[in-house]
Parts: sequence; structure tokens; C-alpha cells
Amino acid sequence: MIELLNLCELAVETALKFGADEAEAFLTRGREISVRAEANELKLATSHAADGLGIRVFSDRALGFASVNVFDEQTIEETVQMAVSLSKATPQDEHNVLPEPRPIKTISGLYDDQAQAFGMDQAITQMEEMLAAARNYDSRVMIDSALVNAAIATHAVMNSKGIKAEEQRSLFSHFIMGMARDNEEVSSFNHRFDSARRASELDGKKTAMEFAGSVVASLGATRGESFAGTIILSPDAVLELMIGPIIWAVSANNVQKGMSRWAGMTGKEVASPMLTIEDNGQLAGGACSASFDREGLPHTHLTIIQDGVLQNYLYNSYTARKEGRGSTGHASGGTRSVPAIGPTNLTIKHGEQSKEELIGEVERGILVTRFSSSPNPVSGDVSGVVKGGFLIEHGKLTRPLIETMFSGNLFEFLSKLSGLSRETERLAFPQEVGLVSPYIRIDDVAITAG
Amino acid sequence: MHELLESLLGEFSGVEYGELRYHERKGLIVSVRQGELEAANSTVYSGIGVRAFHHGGWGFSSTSRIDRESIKGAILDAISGARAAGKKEGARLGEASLATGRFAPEIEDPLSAHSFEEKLALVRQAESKVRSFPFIASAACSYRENLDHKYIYTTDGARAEVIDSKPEFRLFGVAAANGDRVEARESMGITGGWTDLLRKDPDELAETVARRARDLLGAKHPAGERAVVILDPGLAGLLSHEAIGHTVEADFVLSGAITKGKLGQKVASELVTLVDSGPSQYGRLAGGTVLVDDEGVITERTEVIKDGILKSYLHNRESAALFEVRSTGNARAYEYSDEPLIRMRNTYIEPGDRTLEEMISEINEGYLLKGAGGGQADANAEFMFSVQEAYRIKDGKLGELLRGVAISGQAFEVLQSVDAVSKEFRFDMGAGYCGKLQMAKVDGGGPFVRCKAIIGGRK
Repeated sequence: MIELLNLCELAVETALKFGADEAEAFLTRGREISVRAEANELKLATSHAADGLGIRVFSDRALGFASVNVFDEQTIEETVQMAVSLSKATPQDEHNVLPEPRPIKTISGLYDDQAQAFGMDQAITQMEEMLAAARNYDSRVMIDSALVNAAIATHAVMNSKGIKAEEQRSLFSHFIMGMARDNEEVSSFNHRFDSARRASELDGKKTAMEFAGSVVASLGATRGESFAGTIILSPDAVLELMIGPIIWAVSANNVQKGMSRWAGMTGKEVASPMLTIEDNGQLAGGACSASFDREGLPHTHLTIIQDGVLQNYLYNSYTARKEGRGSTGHASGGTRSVPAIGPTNLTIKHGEQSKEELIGEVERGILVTRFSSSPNPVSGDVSGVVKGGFLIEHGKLTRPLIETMFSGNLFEFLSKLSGLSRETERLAFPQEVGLVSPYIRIDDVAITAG
Repeated sequence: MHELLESLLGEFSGVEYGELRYHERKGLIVSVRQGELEAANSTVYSGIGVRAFHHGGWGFSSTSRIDRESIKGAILDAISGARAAGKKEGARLGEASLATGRFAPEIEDPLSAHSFEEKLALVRQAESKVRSFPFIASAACSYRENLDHKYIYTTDGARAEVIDSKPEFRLFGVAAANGDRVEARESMGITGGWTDLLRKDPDELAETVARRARDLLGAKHPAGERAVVILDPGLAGLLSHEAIGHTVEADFVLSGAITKGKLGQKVASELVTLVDSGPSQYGRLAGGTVLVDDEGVITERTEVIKDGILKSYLHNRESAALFEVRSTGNARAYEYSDEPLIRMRNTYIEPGDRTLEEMISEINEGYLLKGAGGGQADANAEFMFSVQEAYRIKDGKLGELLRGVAISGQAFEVLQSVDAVSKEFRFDMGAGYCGKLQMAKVDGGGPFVRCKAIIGGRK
């Protein structure tokens, strides 16, 4: 454990020796095993080391960055030299200053004591259970691919201002993807995934059966109709449709550079009063929690939107310094690039009605369980295809749909919310973003049939 | 490296096949937004990926430590993985043209001959050009290069050294007025050197981006409908890659994609010949050019659809054996720590004999669609992708510009509806990446293609 911080220290000191004014080293050393199935069968077992060192330097407030995945002294020295030489060629920027240390509180539950003992045999057993659960659900289920993954990594960060931190974390995840096939009819793809810090928190059979249920339910789908109606988004669809543009709009870098629709909107209403969104990087055991961020500052528990009113943007130290304020602890990224800005564990506050009640009140609409789109985060324009969906007529789900699209503007959708469910689901993309979300109902959306 | 790898091949005991792939990637990213430098990243990522095959199962391991003991350890891990996953006796790998010797694209003006300062200046100048227009609220520009050096050695005879060079250049502008914001993008990506990358003048490209963002800001949204559309070469490439290409990757076929059992059947208009090619055709080297794949197989030009008939799937050595054909050279790994998967390369529709003007003049009501955005497709070939610009066509004439939309449809139905294909051809996805468990650098393109598709609108 000492060794990693020693390597960081070597990198930082070498950078100062080569003429940098400030230096930061971020180092990851990890081991990962995974088992993959393809075309319904176990196919591949992998194990590999995930190592990396990223060095950021400022010389006369000019940036240089270099990274490498080999840790011998000579290579580290060459890499540092590259970072310093880049910093001699780049433009000065008065905000290029590394952060000062802040007290770090250790977040519990980020490492599973059983992780070291979790071996290939266990991963294979879990995979076989997942495959069997999906196949036994219905013979028409086709598994395109499935993955069981276990990773242990130690992250260390040190800078010339006195930041010095390291932490070991484990992450277990699984994924299953495929479709249902009934003679000539092929359903839409669907997938389910989950991840957690502890192996015991994951239930592969449950994930597999949810996946199987969703693809079988989408068999027999027919084209929809064109109308203006209500959509109800499942948590999966919320993640696909809403989270990217919202995070884009609240990332301080986009706000400061004219790329956010919500620039200058803190304290103002940006969504229906029903909407409250929080981000908590300090959540005990959270799949996206950590005791410190990419720059070695503690994450925070931050309210982004409260009752429809925009409260906070997400900052790293560079963007915070520009506004003369502190970082919110949202520096993100790995060893191969300069710190960016990213969310951790997001929660959308649930509502009071049940999912059934939300559906029951809809005269004509669509329950969207999976949505495929490329929402434009700058304009908020979104137009995409319902990949998993059911027509709602007179308060009841009547049939599965294909080739149905809906379009509009996401930021306008946010003010047209007409209900959030009591039920929530937890979704966690490994190392990207965690989300707890209810079903969300939006009125008056343009729906186009094929 | 040669002696080290050659001597280590003997360590693969108790398995049917072993593969050692050394891959060093030197990367550079320079990125400027609103006049501020956001990244000046130099990266080196190197190591050896080791793969073993036994009874139909694969084991993969990787190490960044290039010494005999570390590599031996990775070989043992790969062997035990393959033995644990392998349950099918008799499974084998297909025949292939295994590469021996050194393979490198022809590059006239290597990226290494240009300094970091020059690359930084290119990015700063282009970004400031976009920002110089008064209606532009925000601008960004980036340059990225990946320089690869690989050695691919297999127990059955591949002994290849592979060199690659893939630069990319991207521009982005946002126009804003009355609380509304619209973006426009342009990008270029190739296999090759500096001069080839910058064949289009970056200043002109910057002006194109800025003016398009402004024009789109004032544009209306189209109504949703099924319509006659002309796809530009980038969209033809995206359709070929995203909606058709993925459904003919043999691993997807095996798991039940819609193309299963359809070889020899008519799946598209006879005007359509769709190709996925490792080598590049038509001028400078396309961004997805791969001379030797990551199983050490010399790549080929694969005709997926020939005159409307489905001719071939895309194979690695394992799927080739199952289908009793030769590998098409589609096994690709993004970095040393990734295992090879069936991936596309340069995917495109072959040009036809019409002009764009003729194709427009024959449309009573429809759209000319330009500028590929993101896209996704399904096992049933249902696709969705976003389009930057939609021009209305009425009575054979090009009309007003409309806001970008998403288009969708079932890709084979769309290809069946093709009734005209232009002479003009270009690759236009060279800055693109495809994600399938790992990234892959791909390119795509085609002619202008007239067909029917669904447009997602606001009414």
C-alpha cells in the first residue's frame, strides 16, 4: 500500500525537479477477472491487471499531462518529463492551480473483505446460474452476451500542495443482453445490468429473469399510432433520456463556456416542482462512491434540483477557482486524462402514487421501458425510438410497440412532469453513474408511428 | 521482441491454440474550448494480451510488464481460463491467411514529423475561427492521434509486426439566441499522416460549422412521418455500419440476429452492394483501415451484400470454423488489455451511376438528410440515428433547412426501398468509434442513397 504513494511522490518530486511549479500524480493499480458468455454459452474467462499513472503539471500556470501504465523509475521519469515539456508549450491560464488538501472522511463499505477470495470458479458459477435462469424462464429467450466481472483496485493521489490519499475499492458487476426469438420474429434487444461494492449484494438470477421477462414481453410488438399523448418513462428510460443532458447542463465547465441551457439559472425554476435530484458521492457502499475524487478532494452530498429549482452546479477545482469558490468534489476520470467533471450516485426523489396509478390515469399514451436516442445536451432536443414500450389506452397497457418514436425538448419535458411513482429502481453503470429513479410521467409529447 | 515472443509460444501447453499480442499505443489529445486549453494529454499504453483456446473456450489475460516471468504468468492465466470455459470437444478455429512480416500503411507525411506546438496551433486557430463569428456562443476543437505498434504471434504460424497511424480532428460550434441553443459539428479522421488528414482546410471547416449552427438556430422542426429521403454519404455509412453491419457480425448471427439463415437471399434493392473492408478503397486511407487483424489474419474486402443478395457474414477464426468459411479478418482488439472481438472496419455502400441533382429532381415531396450524429441499432435491424440537417424537397427542388431529427426504420426494409444511388462517394465516419464492450476505430461512407425512412418530428 505504501508503495503506491511512494510512486506518486517520485512522480511529483521529479516534476518539480524538471521545472514544474505544481504537480499531481494519480495512480491506479488493480486486478480484474471476468467471465463472458456469447450466444447462450460460456465463452471466455479473462484476468488482467489494470494499472495506470497520470501526471498533471503546471509550469507558469500552463498545463501539461502525461500518462503511462508501466511503473519502473525510468519510465516514470520519462513520462514526467513529457508532461513538463508539454506545459512549456501550452498557453498560460490563471486558473491552473492545484487544490489545497481538505479533510477526508473515509466512506465505509467500498471494499468487500471477500473480494480477494472471489475467483474464476465463483465467477463461472455465477455466470452459469444467470444463463440457466434466463433460459429456463422461456425457451424463446436468446442470450447474445452476458458478463460477470469482479475488480479490485487501489487508487492513490498526491499533489505538491499536500494532498495525499489512497483507497482500496472493490466492484462486482454483471450484465446480460439479448432478445427473444419466436420462429421468424425477432424482438428488440434488451439488457439488464447491476453493480455493487460487495459480491453478496448482486443477484444474478434476478437480473437474468428480469431481462428474460422484458424480451419475452416485447414479442408480438406492432407499430404504434401517431398522436400527442402521455409517456411514462421507466428508470432505464430515465437514465437513457434524461441523465446525460441534465448532467451536461449542470457541469460547471459547460455552464462557464456557454454550452449549458441552465447557465445563470441557479435559484430559478428549471423543472416541475415535483422534481428533486441529489448527488451523493459519500453514500456508504455506493457503487459510485469514493472517499475522494480524481483530485483527492472529498465528494459531497449535493442537491442539484430541489422542488424544480436549480440549486447547484458540479465543480472540479479548476472550474471552482474561476468563480472564486470551492470544488464540490466532482472531479472525475481515470489515469489517462486530465480531471473532468462527473456525477456519482444520483437519486431522483420518488413520488406518492404507485406505478399502476400513474398508468391508470392515462387516457392514451406509452409506457417506455427502453428508449434509444442521442439526446442533444446543448439544445435539449431529443428524438428517438421506443425500443421497449407498451401502448396505454384508457388506463391499461394494451400491447407492445415497435417503430414508434417520440420527439421534443428534454428541458421542456422537465416542466411537463405529471407524476412520479412511489417505486424506485437502482441502476449502476460500473464506474460511470449510479441512479435511483422512480417511473416518471410526462404529458403532451409528440408520438410518431412508423 | 521477436525472440522473446517466439520463445514464449512454447509455453502454451495443454491448449489447442495460443496467441501473444504486444501492443504499444502512443496517444496525443489536444483540446481547446472557448479559447481555453482543456487537454494536452500524452499517453503511452503498452503491454501484451495473451489468449488461449481450448475445447471451444477462450482464456485471456494481459500484462503491462514485458519480461519473461510476467508474460509466462499471463500465459498460465489464459490457459487456465480457456480450460475452465472450454466445454465443447471438437471445436476448432477456421482457416485463414495468416500474416508474416511487417505491415504498415503508406504514409507520406508522418505525424511524428510535426511538433506538439504545431498541433496545438492548429487546434487553437480553428477554435478561434469558429468563435470569431458573432452568432457563436461557444466553440471547441480537438486533435487526437493514436500511433500503434504491434507484434502478433500465434502458435499456428502468424508472425506479424503491424504499424498504424490514425489522426482525428473535430470542430464544434454552438449558436444561441432567445434561450435556444443549437450545435453543429464537423470531423475528419483517417489512417495516415498530417497532410492527408488536413486535405480540407480547417479554416473553411470552421466557417462551415459556425454558419450551420446559425442556420439551424432559425430552422423549424419537421413533422413526423414516413418519407422519401436522400441520405448523404455519412448517413449511408452509418446505416451500413450501425443497422446492417452489426446484424452480420457472426457472433450476433449465432445469437439469433435477423440475418440468421438468410445467406443467398435478396435482402436489399439490386442497387445495393454493401462492403466491409480492411484495406481501403477510394483515395486516401479510410479511418477504419486494418491491414492485419488481431488474430494475425490478413484482412480482406468482404462483400456483405452483392447486388441486393446477402453474401457473407463478418468472421473471426472461430466463427469461420462454425460457418465453414475462411476468416474475413474482422477480429479486433482496441488495446492490449482487450480481447479480440468481431468488429467492423470500413463499412460502405458502393457508388452507383446517378447524380445527386437527378435524384433530387425526381422527388415530389421528401427530404435531403445530411450529417450523421449518434446511432443505435437492434438485432432485428431496427435502427435510430440522429441527423444534423434536414432540407425539405418539394416538386424536385431543394427547399428550406429544418432542424436535425432522428430517423428510424427497419434497415433491410430501408435498403429494399432504395431506388437511386449516386456516383459521388466518400468516407465520412473516420472520426467515429464503435462501442461493443470495447471501442474500435471504424469508418463508413457511401454515395447519396435515396430510400424511405421514418422521420421523428414534432407533430
